Amino acid sequence: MKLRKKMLAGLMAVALAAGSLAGCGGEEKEKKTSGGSTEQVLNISTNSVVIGLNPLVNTTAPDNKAHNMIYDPLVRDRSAEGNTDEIVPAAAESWDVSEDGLTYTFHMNPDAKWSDGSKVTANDFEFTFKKMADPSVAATNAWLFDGVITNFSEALYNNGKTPDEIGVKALDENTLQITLVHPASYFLGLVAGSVYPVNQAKYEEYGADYGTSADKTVYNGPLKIKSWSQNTEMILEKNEQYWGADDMKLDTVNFKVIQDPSTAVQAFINGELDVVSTSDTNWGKTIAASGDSTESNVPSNAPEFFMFNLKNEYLSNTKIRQALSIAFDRQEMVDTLRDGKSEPIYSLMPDTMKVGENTYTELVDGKNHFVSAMQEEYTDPKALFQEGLKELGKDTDTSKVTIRYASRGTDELSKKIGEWMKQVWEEKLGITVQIDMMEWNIMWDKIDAGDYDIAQAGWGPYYNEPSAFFQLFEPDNGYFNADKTGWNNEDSKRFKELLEQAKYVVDEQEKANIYLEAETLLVGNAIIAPTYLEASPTYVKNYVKNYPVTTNGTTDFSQVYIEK
Amino acid sequence: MLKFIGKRLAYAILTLFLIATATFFLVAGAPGDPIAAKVGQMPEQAQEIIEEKYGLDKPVLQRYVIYMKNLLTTGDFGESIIYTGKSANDVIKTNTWVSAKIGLLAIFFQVTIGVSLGLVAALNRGKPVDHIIRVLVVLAICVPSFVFAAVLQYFLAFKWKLVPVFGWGELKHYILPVAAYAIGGIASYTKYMRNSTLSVISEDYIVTAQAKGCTQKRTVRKHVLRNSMIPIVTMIGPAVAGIFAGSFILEKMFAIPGLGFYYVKAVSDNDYTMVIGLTIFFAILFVGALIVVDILYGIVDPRIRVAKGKK
Repeated sequence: MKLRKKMLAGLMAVALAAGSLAGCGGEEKEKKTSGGSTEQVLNISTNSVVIGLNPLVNTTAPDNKAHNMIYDPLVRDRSAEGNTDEIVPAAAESWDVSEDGLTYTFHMNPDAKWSDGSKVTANDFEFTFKKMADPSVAATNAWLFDGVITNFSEALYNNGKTPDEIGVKALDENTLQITLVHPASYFLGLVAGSVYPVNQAKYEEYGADYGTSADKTVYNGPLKIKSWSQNTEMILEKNEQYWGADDMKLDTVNFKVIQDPSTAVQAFINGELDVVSTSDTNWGKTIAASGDSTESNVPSNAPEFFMFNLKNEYLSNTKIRQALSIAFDRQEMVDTLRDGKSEPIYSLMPDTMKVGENTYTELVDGKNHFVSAMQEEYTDPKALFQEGLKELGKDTDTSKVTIRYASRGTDELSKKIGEWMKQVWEEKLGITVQIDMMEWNIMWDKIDAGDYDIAQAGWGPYYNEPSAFFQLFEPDNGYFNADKTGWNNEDSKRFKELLEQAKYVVDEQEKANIYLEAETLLVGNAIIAPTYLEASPTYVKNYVKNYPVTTNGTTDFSQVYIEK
Repeated sequence: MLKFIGKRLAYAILTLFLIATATFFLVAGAPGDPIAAKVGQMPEQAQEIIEEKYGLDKPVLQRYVIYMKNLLTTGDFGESIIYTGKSANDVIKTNTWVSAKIGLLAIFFQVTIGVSLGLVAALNRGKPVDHIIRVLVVLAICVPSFVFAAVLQYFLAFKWKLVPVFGWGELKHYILPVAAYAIGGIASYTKYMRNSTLSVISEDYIVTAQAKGCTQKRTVRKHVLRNSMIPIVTMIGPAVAGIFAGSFILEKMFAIPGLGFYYVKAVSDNDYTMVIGLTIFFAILFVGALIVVDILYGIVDPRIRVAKGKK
C-alpha cells in the first residue's frame, strides 16, 4: 500500500515536471506576441553550413549566399520581378566596354567603403583577381576566367606567366581595367557571380586566417556579421559603412542552418522563418492554406539530361540515340515524377539563357527546341531505332538489345526516374534496360572512366550564356570530354571549331546562329537528351518586401524590407 | 586491479591505432573525392591545382605516413579539407558538449524513469499496471526515435506551439530532442529492470528477508533494488559512449549544432582528416567507457571483484 503511494507521488512528480516544461513553451509564445513590432529582421535558412568567408576559396552554395550579403562585387546581378534579373552598379558605379568588346573599364563608386572605414579601391579588385590567378591560392572560381582574361590561364597553370601579368590593372584607385582574350557578353554576369573582393591590407595581414571567423573578415556589402556559430546560425547586421546604407531598411538577418526540409517548413509556417523552399506538395498545400505567403515557382537554370556513351556498340549510332531521346514524353515525365513542379525542356538551353541582351531562344526563333522538332518528325521511335540497327548491320529485332542505365545517386527521385525510364524505353522501343543504382559520387567516377551506357546527369551553369554548357562537351578540354562521352568524330571536331569561332563574334544574332549549329550537333544528334529543369516552389511571407525569386540573379539585401 | 587496468589500457591504445589505420585506408579507398565535394565539378587541370594544395596528389602510403606522424607527434587530427581553417580538434572542442548534454540528459531520464517503471511492473506482476507498462514498452521499443521526434515536433511544436520547432541555446530547445531520444531507452531499461527484478524477487535471500519480518519497503530498497541494478550498470557504459551516434538524426531534425552533423557530412564528402579525427575520438570514448564499466561492475557487485581477485 505504502509502496503504491510512493509510486503515485513519483508519477505526480513526472507530471509536474512535464507541466513545467510545457510552461516554458507557453512563455515563449507570449514573448513573441508582445515583441511583434515591425522590426527590420529577416529570418532565412540554408540546408548546409557556411564553410568560410574567404571568397577566394569558399564557394559552396551557402558560402555564396552569405558572400552575397556581406560583399559587394563590381556589379550585381540582381533578381527583379517577373523572373528577370538585371546587372546594376555595385562597388563600381559605372563601366565602359570598348568597341571590340575586349576591354572593360570599371569606375569605382567613390563612397564604397570597407567595414573598417577604408576605401574600396580598384587595387583591392586587382589584388583579388591576381590572387585568383595564383595557383598556390587554389581559388575555386579561378578556372572560370581561364581563356577569358588575358594571360589568366597561363598564370593559373604555370605556363610562362605570373599572376602579375594578367590583364587586370588598377589605372588609379578609382579605375580598374580588365582586358579579355575574346569578347564575352557574359563577362559582367561572371564578375557579378564569382568575384567577391578581399581587402588587400587585411588579407596580407591575416594570411590564411582571412575569412575563417567573423572578426578576421572585412566587409563591403550591405550586411556584416555580428556573430557566427557555424552550424546553428549567422547573425548579420546592417553595415553602416556600406555606400547604400542610407537607403537600406533591413537591420538584421538571421541566417540559420536547418538541414531537415520538413523542419524548415514547420518553422516557416510557425513564423520562425520568412522564406522557405519545398517541393513537397503536401506541405505546399498547408502553406497555401495559411495564406500569409506568396509562392514563386521559377525553374532552376540547371538542366537535367541523359548522357549517351558513344563507345557503346548501339549508342554509337545517331538514329538509335535520337530514338532514345524522343521515346519519352517530357511533360508526362514531369507530371509523374515531379508532381508537375518542373519544366520540360526540348533544348539544352533554358529559355532564360541569354546571348548579349536577348535570350538565345528568341534570337534563334525557337529552332533550338530540337527534341520537340524530332518528336514531330519521327512519330515512331521504334522504327527509328530499327533503322539505326540496320545502319549498324545488326538484327532489327530490338528485343535483343540490352542497354545499361546509371542512376545519379540512390535517392528516391533518382530511383523513380530510373524505373520510369526503364518502363517507357522498354515499352516504346522493345529493348531491355538494365538499371545500375549507384551513389552520386560513384556515378561521377564511372563517367570519368567512361564506364556507362546511359547516365542520368545535370549541370548548373556558372554564367548565363550558352557557352557555359557547350564548353562542357568540348571534346578535348571539356568536363565531359571525348574520353568520357566517346564523342570523337567529324561532328565533335566541327563542334569544337564552332565554339572557337563563336568566341570572337560580337554580334548577338551571328553568335546565336553559331550556337544553334553547335546545338544541332549536340542535342539534334542526341549526344545528350535534355529532360527538364527542376523547379521547387519558394514561399516568401507577405510582410517581406522586395524579395523576388528568380532563375538567375541573386537577392539584393539592400533592397529587402519588412512591412507587417 | 592496477595490472588489470594497465593491460586494458595497452589494448585500448593498440585498438585505437588499428582503428585509425583502417579508417584512413577505408576513406582513401572509398569512391569519390573530397575536392569534388568541396568545389563541385571543374576541369581536370583546375582540379589538380587544388589537389596539389592539399597533398592529395601524393600516393596513399606517403599520405598515411605523413598523417600518422603528425597525429602521433602533435595530437593534431589535421585541417579539414572541406572546412578550410578548421581541424577535427576544433570541431570536437566546440561541438562535443552540445551532443553530450542532450545524450547525458536523455540517459539520466532513461535510467531513472526506466528503473522506476521496471520496478513497478515487476512488483505488480500480472496486475493491470504491469500489463499497461509492458504494452507501452513494446510500442516504444519498436518505434525508432526519429519517428517519435517527428511526432513530437509536429504536435508539441508545430500544432500546439508549446516549444520551438528547432533551435539551440535555451532550455526550451532541449525538450523535444531529449524526450525523443529518451523514450526508446526508457522502454529498454524498463524491460531489463522488470526482468531482473523478477529474477531477484524469487531468490532465496529475499524470501529470507521477508521471513525475518523485513518490511516490504525495506526489502525492496535494501535487497531487490541493489541486486537488480547490476545488469542496468552494464548497459549504461555503452549507452554513454553511444550518445553521439544516437543523436545524429535528431540533431539534423532539430538543427542542433552537435557533432553528428560534421560526422555524417565528413563521410559523404570524403573529408579524410575529419572522418579519421572524429572516428578516433568516438573510439576513445567507447573504449574508455567500457573500461569504466568493467571497473564499476566490480564495485556494484562484490562477487565479481572477488572472482577476479582469486584468479
